[in-house]
Amino acid sequence: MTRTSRSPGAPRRGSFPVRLALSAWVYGATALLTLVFMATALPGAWLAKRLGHGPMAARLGIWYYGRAWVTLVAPVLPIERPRADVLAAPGLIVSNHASVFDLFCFGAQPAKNVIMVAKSWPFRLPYYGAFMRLAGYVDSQSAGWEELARAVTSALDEGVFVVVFPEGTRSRDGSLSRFKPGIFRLAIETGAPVYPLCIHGTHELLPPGRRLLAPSRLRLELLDPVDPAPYAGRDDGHLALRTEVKSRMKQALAPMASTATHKETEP
Amino acid sequence: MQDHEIIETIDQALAEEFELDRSELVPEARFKEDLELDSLDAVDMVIVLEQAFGFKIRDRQAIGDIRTLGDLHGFVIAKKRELSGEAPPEA
Repeated sequence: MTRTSRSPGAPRRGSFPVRLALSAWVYGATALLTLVFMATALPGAWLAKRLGHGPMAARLGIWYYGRAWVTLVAPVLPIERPRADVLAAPGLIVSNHASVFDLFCFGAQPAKNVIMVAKSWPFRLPYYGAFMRLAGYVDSQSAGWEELARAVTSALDEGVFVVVFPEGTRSRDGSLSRFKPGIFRLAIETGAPVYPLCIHGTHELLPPGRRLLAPSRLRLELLDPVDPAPYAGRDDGHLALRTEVKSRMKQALAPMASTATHKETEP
Repeated sequence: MQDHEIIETIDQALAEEFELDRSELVPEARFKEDLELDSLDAVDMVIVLEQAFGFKIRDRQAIGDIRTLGDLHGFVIAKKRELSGEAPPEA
C-alpha cells in the first residue's frame, strides 16, 4: 500500500451534496468506531497478551473492528459479502487494491484469523500500527525475504490466512496493475491454496488522491482457490501461477469495471 | 555471449518477471524510484539472473549497491567476463 498523488479517472458519481453526506457518514462512523475501539480494545489486548493469546486476540479484534465498520456504514454503503464456504483451508488470500477502504472492507470477508503482508507506513500509524504488530502482520519493506517466508509459512501452519496485495500499491485507474512475483513463489513453496479476492467498487468510492467519497456498489468476491501444486518443479512455475490468478481476477473484475465506466454522473 | 545479448537477456527476464514494459527498461531507470522494485523484488531478481545466466551471485553486497538498470547490466557483464576468464576492457 502506498500514498499516491491524485489519480485520473472517470467522472465522479453523485452530486456534491450526496458525496458530502456520504463522506460525513462514513468518515464520522469510522472515527466514532475507532474511538470506541481504542477505549475497549487496548485493555483487552493487554489482558490477552498477559494470558499469552495476544496475536489471536489482536486478529479477532481487527476483524470485529472491520465487521462493525461494515455494519455501521451499511445504511449508506451496503457491501455485498462473499461466499464463506470458499475458504476451506488456510491459504493465501490474494486481493486487488484500489482504495484505502479496501482494508475496512475486509470486515466483510469470512476469515477472522488473518494476517496481512503490508508496506511499512501503516505500521507507523498510531494505534493501528500497534495492533498490526501484535497480530503478527508482516512489514514487507523491512522484513527480508527469509523473514517474510518464515512468517508466512509459520502463519499457515498455525491455521492463519495470509492476505497479500500483489500489486504492492493502490491502482491508479481501478484496473489491475502488475503483480509482484514473490508471493507466487511462496505459494508454490508452501503448497498453500491461493484464494483470489476481488474487491469491487472501492476505486469508484475513493480512488487515490481524492477526499470525498462517491456512491458506489461495493462487493467482495472470493473466487475458487487455485492449487499451486501443478506449477511446482518449473523455473517459471510462479509466473504461470501468477498469470492464472491474475487472469481469473481480471475476468471477475471486468463486469463491474465496465458497469462503473458507463454509469452516468448525476447532475 | 556478446554484451548486447546479455543486456537483452536481462531486460527480457526482468520484463517477464516483474510485468514491466520494455519501454521502461532504459539504462538510466532506477529500480526503486522508476521501476518501483523493492528489496523483496531484489531477491526475485537474483533468482531470475542466476537462472538466466547459470551462475550463482554470492556477493549480495554488490547487488545491494545496484541502483539502476545500467548498473545491473554492468554487473552481469563483468560477472560473465570474470567467469569466462576474460580480461576487463581497457578504461
